[in-house]
Amino acid sequence: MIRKRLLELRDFAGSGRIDLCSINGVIDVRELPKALTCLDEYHLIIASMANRIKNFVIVYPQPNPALFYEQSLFREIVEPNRLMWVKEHDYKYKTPDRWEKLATKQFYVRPRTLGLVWGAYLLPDDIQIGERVYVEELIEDVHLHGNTLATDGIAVWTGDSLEFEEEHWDKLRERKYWKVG
Amino acid sequence: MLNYKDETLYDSEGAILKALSCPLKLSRDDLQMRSDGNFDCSSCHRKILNTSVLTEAEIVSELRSNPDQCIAIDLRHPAIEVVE
Repeated sequence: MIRKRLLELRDFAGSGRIDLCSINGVIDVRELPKALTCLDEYHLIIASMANRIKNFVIVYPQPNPALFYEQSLFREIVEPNRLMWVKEHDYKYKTPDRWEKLATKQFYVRPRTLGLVWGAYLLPDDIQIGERVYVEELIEDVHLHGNTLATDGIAVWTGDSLEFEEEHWDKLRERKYWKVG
Repeated sequence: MLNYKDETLYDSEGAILKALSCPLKLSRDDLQMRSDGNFDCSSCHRKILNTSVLTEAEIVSELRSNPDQCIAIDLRHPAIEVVE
């Protein structure tokens, strides 16, 4: 049974999680039961909950261009001849007198997305249009800053889809730039 | 150009201007804007200098005259370079 409950989350700095306390006090939202990313999960949920959940919304996550990053494979040309994958911002430390660049490759911060065709958010049967819900596990890749993804979000059910409230993520993005002391 | 590295602000000569050492680990969300453009700390009720509206020279002057002044830095300030 899906229970409506008040949520108070503590912010873990840099974790990509929303801090409801600093945004709007404690707010009253309903938490969605689960996010699915494969048919086995869907069948398991249906079997275990005796078909009590029938509503879901399918999403087709796409890689976020901001989350690709480059690494190069360097070989040490002097002893001990190490091989090392190095991120772009560290290339300057691999000087040609000691290191040889062998190859360059694009990586993605969340490899799961590259192999994921679809995902689904399960919805409570009595969800109302306009109702605000808390999504604990995002299927989509939402970029916050650097290599940090948003892990959760707050969305409004429109009847067809979940529209996420960007303002909470904007607060996390903004926070990264301010230092106090 | 001022440099920021490891929670410390340095002047253009490399001398320490301010080590950011808030014991409460405050973030921007914990600060309230005052009418003068600076911030109030909701925990210790001290004035927090908003450096985002100051020039490099003004930041240096403020911190040299009052090293214990609490400050809020926006790392996107054009006069501040983040050193990794």
